[in-house]
Amino acid sequence: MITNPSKLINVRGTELLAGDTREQYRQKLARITLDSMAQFVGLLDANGTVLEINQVALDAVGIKLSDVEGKPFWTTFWWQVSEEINATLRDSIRRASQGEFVRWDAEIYGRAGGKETVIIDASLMPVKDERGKVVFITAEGRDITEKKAHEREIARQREELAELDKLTQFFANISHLRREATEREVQLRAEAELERQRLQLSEDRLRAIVETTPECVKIVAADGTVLHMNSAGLAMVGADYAEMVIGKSVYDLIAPEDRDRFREFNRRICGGEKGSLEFDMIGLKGVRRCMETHAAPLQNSDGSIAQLAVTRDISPRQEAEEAQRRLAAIVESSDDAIASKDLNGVVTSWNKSAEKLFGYKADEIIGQPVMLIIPPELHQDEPMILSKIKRGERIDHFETVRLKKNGERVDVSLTISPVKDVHGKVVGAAKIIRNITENKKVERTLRTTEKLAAAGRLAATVAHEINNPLAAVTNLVYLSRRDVGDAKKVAAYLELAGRELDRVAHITRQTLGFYRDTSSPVRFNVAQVLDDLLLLYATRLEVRKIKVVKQYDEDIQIRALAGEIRQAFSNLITNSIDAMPTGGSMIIRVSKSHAWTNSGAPGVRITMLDTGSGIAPQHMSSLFQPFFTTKEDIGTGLGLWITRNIIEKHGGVIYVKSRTGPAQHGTVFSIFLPLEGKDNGPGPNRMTAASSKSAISSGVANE
Amino acid sequence: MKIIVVDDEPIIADTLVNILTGEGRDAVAVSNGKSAIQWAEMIRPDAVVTDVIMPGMDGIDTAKAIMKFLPNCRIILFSGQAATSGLLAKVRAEGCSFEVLAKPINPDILLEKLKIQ
Repeated sequence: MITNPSKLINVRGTELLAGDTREQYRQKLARITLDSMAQFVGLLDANGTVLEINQVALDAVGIKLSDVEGKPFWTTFWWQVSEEINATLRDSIRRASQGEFVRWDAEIYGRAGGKETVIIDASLMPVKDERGKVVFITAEGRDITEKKAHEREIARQREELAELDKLTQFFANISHLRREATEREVQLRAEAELERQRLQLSEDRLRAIVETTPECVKIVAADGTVLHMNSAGLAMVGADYAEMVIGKSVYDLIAPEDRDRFREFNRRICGGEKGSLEFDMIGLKGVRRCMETHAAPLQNSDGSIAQLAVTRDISPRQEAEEAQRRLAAIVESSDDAIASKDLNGVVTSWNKSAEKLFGYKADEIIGQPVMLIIPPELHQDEPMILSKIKRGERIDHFETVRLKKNGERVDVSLTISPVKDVHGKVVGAAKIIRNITENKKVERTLRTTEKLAAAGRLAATVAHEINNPLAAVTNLVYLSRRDVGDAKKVAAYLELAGRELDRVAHITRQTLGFYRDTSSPVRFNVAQVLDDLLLLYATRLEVRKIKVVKQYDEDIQIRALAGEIRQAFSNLITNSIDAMPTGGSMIIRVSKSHAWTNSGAPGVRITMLDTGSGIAPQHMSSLFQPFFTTKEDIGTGLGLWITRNIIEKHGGVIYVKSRTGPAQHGTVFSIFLPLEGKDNGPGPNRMTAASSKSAISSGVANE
Repeated sequence: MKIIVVDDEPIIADTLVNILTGEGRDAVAVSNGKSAIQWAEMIRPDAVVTDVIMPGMDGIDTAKAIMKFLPNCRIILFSGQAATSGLLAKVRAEGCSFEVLAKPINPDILLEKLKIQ
């Protein structure tokens, strides 16, 4: 630099003179070096007092060396930006004076004659004498304002990117089948924005971002060689260090079935197109991940084009979508009709089976009130259902009737569950509608079967009662023929035969009343029906030594299907008789009562108690089920089922309690029947069925 | 030929005895199983004609008890009830077999049965 020391040179007040000694010359050179350095340099004593400051530093704030010489460094103009900065300096000087090299970033006055601050990379270097004692401290400061600004900019960009990532992640998280298209669009837009952002960034910023981004950023050559991959990418593919991937073929990382697609994709990108692709990656450690990549062509310095790709792991999203798709497929292909509605009773979804069952296409009923499929007389059910749903309750197997599009009615069993949003708030209801028309048909057949079986059992009872007098008459006729000449004897035989025939007539009058006119309700006396039955079973009761106690309230009349009520009572009485093969007691009570439900309707309560063997606890729950029997040789298993059916059909309720203890055993059936029984058909009034079921389970008193 | 007729309905037992006596048989009427066994021990009948369903001891148990001490005694059961078949199945399972006639019995058929040894 200074090539000719003989020439007179003046640099910032330092004059190199021809007559300078070697010593002086070197000192002056040092001075010039110091003064012309671009960074701020100074020399302090061990206490931080200013000895030397270079010219650049003085010029930056427009002061002279004499202004600061001999003063503590922290009192100088540069350091008066803030108390905090000043304190840091003082602390740093203290540490440096103890022999520590201190380095920090500080904001000081240092530009435009002291009007503006700069950021410096400040350092204090202790200078020690031969004995190791700190005697001087050199102070240095390099202006890093620009660099800081860069860094801030990069940080800002990084934050923006993170925001974008969060945004795309957010959309991935709320991915919903219906919104898939929109989500995809938003995502692509976000990705495009990301791309635009990236392109805007300068190379080193890009590098910084590339290294810190949580996604895999890689550059792949046209032949599939991985040229670069960031650390997130390396982690994703399971590489412990870059060389495990860089320079290797990218295809080794692609699932075999996706390799051809990826090859084609790479060809397209390296041909200058942009694009995205979903593929399965199999990492170096064998982990399969579903990836989504967005790639753009990147021109290398040699003019060749490589693929620059940002790839992310969408396995979790994929799984969620897959689960949702699977669920949707299940719902769609379910044999049961599945539909949902909002809290206003508007249909919001409708599967294939629902279309088939009701005849409404999904697009014609979605958005319509659910009332469309509810028969007019059951419209009052809907607010009841909705209010239960709003309380978050579930409705299980509610048997009712619904309307098809063509006006036909269909017997259905509904299971309705509340649908809650993420906050647990009920927003609608999902219902499974099962067509139980077939079940109903089977039930009706069973009911007929049981009627016939009951008739058969009745016929057997009647046969015995009739066969006895007939046997007597047969014998008397035989004797009359034999003794035909003896008028007196014959008269006596005929007298006896006549009495026996009266017995037959009485029995037929009693029993044939059973099946007389069962189609419409009539008013009849409950006690009378029970008495008729007890008369019919008198022999059986007598044979078994069963004592019958009757406790009847005064004449109670109900309006009901007399034949059916007789059948119900008859089933209970014969069950009691069967439960007491070795004798016992039976108490039959008839009293005025009121419904136990809200209606409080007046009615009659019939209690039948026996001291029989009782019902085993494990049988209690299936007692009223069809085909449940403990008497396999003689029972159809339909008796109690039909009994409950009859009682409920009349708006009544039946309870049972039973004990099987060695000392106390027996069964009580308690029946309530309203005075004015409903005679609605089977089915519609199934809420009572549910209540009687629970009553049975709660009313069990087994020992 | 000595015959015991058992039926809880006296009119049936009495008329049957009347018919059998008219045909020259030595017949006696009782109304329950217990007295049937007592009479059987006393008169050692050739045949017992009994109803199945009776209060107290039924016809089958009565017949079984009599067969114990009179193994060659003819037993004819008669019943008007379908439930009898269940009782008979039980008896068969125990290794006995009885003839059962449905009520009402035609007296001529009963007389025929009693003729065949």
